[in-house]
Amino acid sequence: MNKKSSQQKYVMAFIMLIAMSLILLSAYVRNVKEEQEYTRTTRHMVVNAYELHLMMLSFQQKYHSYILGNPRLTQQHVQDAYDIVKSKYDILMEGETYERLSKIKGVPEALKQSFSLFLQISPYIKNALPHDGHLTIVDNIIEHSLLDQVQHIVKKTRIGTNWKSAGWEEATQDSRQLIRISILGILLIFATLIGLLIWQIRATHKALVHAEQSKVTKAKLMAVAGHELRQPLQASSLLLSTLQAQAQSPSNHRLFQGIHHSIESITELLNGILDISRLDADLLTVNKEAVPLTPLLNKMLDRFAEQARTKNLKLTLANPEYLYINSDELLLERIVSNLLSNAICYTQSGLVQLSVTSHQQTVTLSIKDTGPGISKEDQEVIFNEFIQLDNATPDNQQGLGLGLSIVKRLCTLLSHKLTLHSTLGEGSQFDISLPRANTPRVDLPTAPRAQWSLSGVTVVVIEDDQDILTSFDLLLATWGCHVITASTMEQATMAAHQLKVTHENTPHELLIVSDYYLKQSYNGCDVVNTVQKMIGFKVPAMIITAETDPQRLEEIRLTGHSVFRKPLKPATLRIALQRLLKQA
Amino acid sequence: MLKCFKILLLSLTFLLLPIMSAHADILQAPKGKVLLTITGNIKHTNAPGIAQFDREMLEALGMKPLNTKTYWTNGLQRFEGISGKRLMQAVGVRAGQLHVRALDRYKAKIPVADLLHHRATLALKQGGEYLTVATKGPLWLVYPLDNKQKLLKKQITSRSIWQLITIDVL
Repeated sequence: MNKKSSQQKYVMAFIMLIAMSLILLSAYVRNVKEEQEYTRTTRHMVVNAYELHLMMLSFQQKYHSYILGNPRLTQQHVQDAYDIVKSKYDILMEGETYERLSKIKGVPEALKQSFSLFLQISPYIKNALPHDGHLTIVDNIIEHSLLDQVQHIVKKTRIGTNWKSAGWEEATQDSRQLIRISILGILLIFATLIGLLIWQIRATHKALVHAEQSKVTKAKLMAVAGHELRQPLQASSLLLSTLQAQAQSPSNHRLFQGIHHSIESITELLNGILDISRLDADLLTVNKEAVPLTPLLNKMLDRFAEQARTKNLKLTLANPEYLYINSDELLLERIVSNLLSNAICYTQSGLVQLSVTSHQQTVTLSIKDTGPGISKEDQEVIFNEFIQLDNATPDNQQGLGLGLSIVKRLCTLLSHKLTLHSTLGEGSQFDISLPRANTPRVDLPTAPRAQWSLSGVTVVVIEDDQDILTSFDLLLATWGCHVITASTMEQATMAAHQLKVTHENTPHELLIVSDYYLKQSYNGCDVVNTVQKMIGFKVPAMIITAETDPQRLEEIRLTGHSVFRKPLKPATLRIALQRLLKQA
Repeated sequence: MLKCFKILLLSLTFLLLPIMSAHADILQAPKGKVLLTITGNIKHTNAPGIAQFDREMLEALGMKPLNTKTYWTNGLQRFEGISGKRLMQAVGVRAGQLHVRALDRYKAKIPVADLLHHRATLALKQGGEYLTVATKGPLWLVYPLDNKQKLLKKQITSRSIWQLITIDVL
């Protein structure tokens, strides 16, 4: 919908509404005036009718008095009284008073009749003398005709009985019509406005739903694509390690390192894109719980130690206490690893420092580097997607610029406060404020890593992807393991039958590695459980999956097996296997 | 004692003489039938405290035509009469209220400003003929109804007095 045109419509409707309101107001004012005018002229009519009656009586009395010989009266007095009555007739029969009076049925006729009769007695008045013989005639006319007629007129025009009939409708017709029209107009405009509003709300809602749908579709596509991409990545990583073990020589060492590095970069990029798409689609579920900070940081240190060493950077960790914080372990891991990765990537020399400061309620995790720093203007945009600063020269490794955006959004999601202090040329420091957890989570103690040998261990690998299965076989064989592969439940149970016999006395040297999704009605956990039951010993097992949904991962974890995400680096796999053996 | 009284009488006569002669100078006494009597706070009189006018005296003040409609007649009317301003000059009134009475005992209060500024005219003739009691005369205070008239209709209707006989200046 065109926003501008709809805005214009609203403005138009508003202007019309104001115009109509003004018309209504003026019509109302006019109506009030018309009503007042009507009332006034009607009152005039009534008063003058009374006056006519009054003056008629006064005239009658004067005439009587004069004829009967009152010495204080002259013919002129009587004449004046007669003339005054005549003028009263005039008032009623002309101008506005007559206009009003003419609306009352019968009154104009009665008035005219009365007036002509009144004119008939004029000669008697002109020639009136005391004691003349016309008294009876004149008196009869006045007493029995004129007074009756005038009384009738007074009665007819009296306020109350004929108030509205005396042309009220006509006198206020225009203004009442105008009021009706303007009220109708206002109602129409209101209806139009409401219609417009409903239409717009619907359109907006539709657009929102559409946007939401496409967002979800996009995120789903990304998730599926990511899942599918992880499989070949996993396979190539494992295959490469195997190849390296078999064919490594001083001359091709750097080549292998390069390929490893590239695969890791692809994996990181993939993870970044997946995280952003999940954040976009609000598909990320947050599992907040008490998380021990120390193991998480140690893990981070382990992961980035190699990278730092190759760049001759000092990577330090100042973590004086064993603290528990309230957060989502997986997501926090992503935050820290993104920040660390950035720090190492952009720092050319000096150190990257990871430090923990504890406060009353919170724990501040700081990642400080001696990199190029970020200017004030850039600090405002650096958390946007696809932003890479010009002054930064990442060592031939170009990312998508998603790292800080993910960090920012994850921090918002977890409601961890993220602050940035940076001076251009001196380095940057990112602080994450984490809430302290009250009750530490019951967790397996993180035992010191021991260089256990894997040789002689029998590993059952269950995986439906033939490429990965082969690569596992090859890799584990280089570590001296005896590998039994299975891609279905049947194969796994067959293997279990054999193992029950061969390892009856040494079930401790058994391990199971299984993929979670097996394109069957059962999953990795089901197979592992079956095998464990058949052997009659709880053989340590690890589940590998490309699943990235934290909720699903948690569900798998709840089955009691160790869960690892694809793609799994050979080193991680080795450590995991060692740890499993030790726990058993 | 007698001497004293004589002196007092003499001085009183001298004091009053200029005032009385001043009045007599401006307004003559009416010869015909008195149509209008002005009383109250007036400067010029022709009888003790009052000014009386007959038709001749009024016409001598200057007749002016006034063509206007009224609310009590049909169509345009040709009136002739004395402008209110001229009448007020004749009795020396500049401001205040007029208490006006009519033959039919109608009374109304009119501000002097109506006569001085709103062109109220004391009409003697309508359509070339003298007004009589029967035709709302002999005197009718008429207000011109035109675009320049600033008074409201309700003011005009209550102040247009016909059969006018006395004006009391308050």
